[in-house]
Amino acid sequence: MKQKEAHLGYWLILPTVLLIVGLILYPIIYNLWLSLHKVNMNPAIPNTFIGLGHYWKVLTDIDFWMSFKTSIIFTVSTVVGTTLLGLGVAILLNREFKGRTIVRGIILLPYVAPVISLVFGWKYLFHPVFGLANYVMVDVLKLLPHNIDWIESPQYAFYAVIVFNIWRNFPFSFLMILARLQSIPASLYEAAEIDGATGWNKFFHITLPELNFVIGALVILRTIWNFYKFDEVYLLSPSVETLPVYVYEKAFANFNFGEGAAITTILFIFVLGFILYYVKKVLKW
Amino acid sequence: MKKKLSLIIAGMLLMALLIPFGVLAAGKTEIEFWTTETEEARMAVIKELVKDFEKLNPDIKVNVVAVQENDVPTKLAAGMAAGMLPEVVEMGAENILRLGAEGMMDVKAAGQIIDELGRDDFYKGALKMVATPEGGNYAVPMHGWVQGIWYRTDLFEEKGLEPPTTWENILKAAEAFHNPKERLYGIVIGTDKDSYARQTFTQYALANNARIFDENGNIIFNSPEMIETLDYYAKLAQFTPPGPNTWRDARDLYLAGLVPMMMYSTYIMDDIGISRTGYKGAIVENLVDKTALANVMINKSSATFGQIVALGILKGNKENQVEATKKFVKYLMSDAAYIDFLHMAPGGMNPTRRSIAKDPRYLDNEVIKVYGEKAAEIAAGLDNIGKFGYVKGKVFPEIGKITSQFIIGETIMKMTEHGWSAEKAAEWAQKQMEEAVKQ
Repeated sequence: MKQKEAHLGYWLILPTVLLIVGLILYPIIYNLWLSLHKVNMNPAIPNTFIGLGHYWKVLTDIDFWMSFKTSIIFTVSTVVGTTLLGLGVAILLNREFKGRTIVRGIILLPYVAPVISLVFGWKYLFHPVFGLANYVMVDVLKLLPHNIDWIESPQYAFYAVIVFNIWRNFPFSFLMILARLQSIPASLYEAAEIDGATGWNKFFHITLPELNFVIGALVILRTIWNFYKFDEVYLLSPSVETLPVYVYEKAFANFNFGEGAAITTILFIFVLGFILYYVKKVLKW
Repeated sequence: MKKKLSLIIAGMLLMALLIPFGVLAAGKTEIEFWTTETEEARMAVIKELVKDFEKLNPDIKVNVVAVQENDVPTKLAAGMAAGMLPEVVEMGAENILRLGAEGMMDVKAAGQIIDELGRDDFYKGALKMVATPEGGNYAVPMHGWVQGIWYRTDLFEEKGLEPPTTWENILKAAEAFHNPKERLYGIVIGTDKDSYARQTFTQYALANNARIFDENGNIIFNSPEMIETLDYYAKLAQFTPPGPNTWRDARDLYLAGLVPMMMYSTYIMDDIGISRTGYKGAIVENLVDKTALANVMINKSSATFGQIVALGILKGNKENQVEATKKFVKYLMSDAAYIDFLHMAPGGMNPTRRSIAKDPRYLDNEVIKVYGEKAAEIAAGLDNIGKFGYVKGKVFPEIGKITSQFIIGETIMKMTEHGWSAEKAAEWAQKQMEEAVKQ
């Protein structure tokens, strides 16, 4: 009977195991295999094994390091931006006022709307000729002498992408932090008040320590997500070459699958290292 | 009892997974057709044509997949890597050459179709654009467009300017009209990293005898002629709207009356002629009467640029699939089906077969009638268009590797957005192109 049950147990976890092997393990191994080969586009011609050639080429390629730098700046600024903005808004909305549910709903909008519709909205808002942003800055306020292409000109595109990402993703931090805020017992604040604590004192000695864990988790999640962020960056402005965009162009426009695979492997190792360090030293799990 | 239930659920899941495969095995020959006509209205026409075809050939099923023109290289790469390429594709000559260079086009099938439809009926220029270096054809040319500068004759007359047919006249006119404070711009040309920039730039390069390949297939993008062209192009780009521009800017700003000149293909014809077909809401009244096309550009020589879109059959299909595909291509290239297809973008898509160009059914269309004689003149441009991949009768399919990376557009952007000199940009592009061709 026990053995029978054990058998049933294996059968029941089989679909999950198959899914993980098929959807996670197989792609990782295939990717590693690709990164060691010169991949031929024509299926009739076999691929040639070149060992670590792609890795050497990538690590000595100045374009790769430029993209790496872009990605690091992008990730750091958006992680800091989304977390701080989320924290600020959560604290503001963590009190009773009329229409609180509606305001909270509106704040979630950028996060739940499909990214492509947001991108088109922004592109139209910042359109170099017809856009509202230019109209206000140039015609109404006369702050600028002439219209600017805010989103597609390379010198502004990077900032546009960062601002867009923060605006789109801060609601997630907001939601997580707000949920945690509401579970901080009011008695803690009352006790502090009796001891004569100011608002800042309460924030630094009660609120922040209570939020420590949720903010730590948010930072690591957002770092992983944004380091690999492709859709928002590429749709808004392909001229911002973060690493995922760089990989995409290597693999699909230059038809160099091997090199693309090598880059993703390098990224994988880098992010894995970061996570292990962060979990051990910062989160202290 | 519980076990039974879980077995039933597992069984149902399995069924759901297997059903699609069961349908596939029903005995029909299935072919996949990739088209770059992604607009909803055009897809509707194509689906209708496919439905009629399937009615005529009940044993064939055609799956239509729409692919954005700029996405074609990436989709092809993904398809090749996955071994899931379509049977037949409708795409521009560069992409056809690109596939041809990889040895993936069924040259034999294409040749048979051309012969069966009548080789002499095709425009020579159209066949040349998809020719193999050995003299065959990678694909069957289906329709084509011609590019040029569309300009406002009324505004040019007002200022007493000459038509924009020479480099000098173009620059002079752009400068005269450019007034960014009033949101009026001189001209729209391609300055973004895309196909449009390559297409508009090519015409300037050809007019200056600048080439990407020499006769032996060496890349000569850093030649004095090319540097001169880049330099001129960057100068002209000063009189364009802010930021990188693409075809959408050209179309929108011209129809809104904010630029007097822009480069576009014949696909703009129905947009310009639209007020004549009963449409209300045009920003510039009777635009078609105030518009002319300068499709020949003159500097050191005269140049026409355009594109041939062809139907290509991919190699490696089963015998019955090849036969089904041939039937489908012939169906799309003949009679009413062909004319319906061309009428999706009247004036924009010009036939590659003489007999169809003269067919009264083809000429019986509102937009084509609006242009009258002009339409025939424009279509005739198809016979002598020049391109980077063709030098003195030789074809260099490697051009597909360069166009798929949008190197020319990026080179232009280096100058217009990052302030590079023409020399520096040309050297950079030379290196990029050499690397691209090597791969």
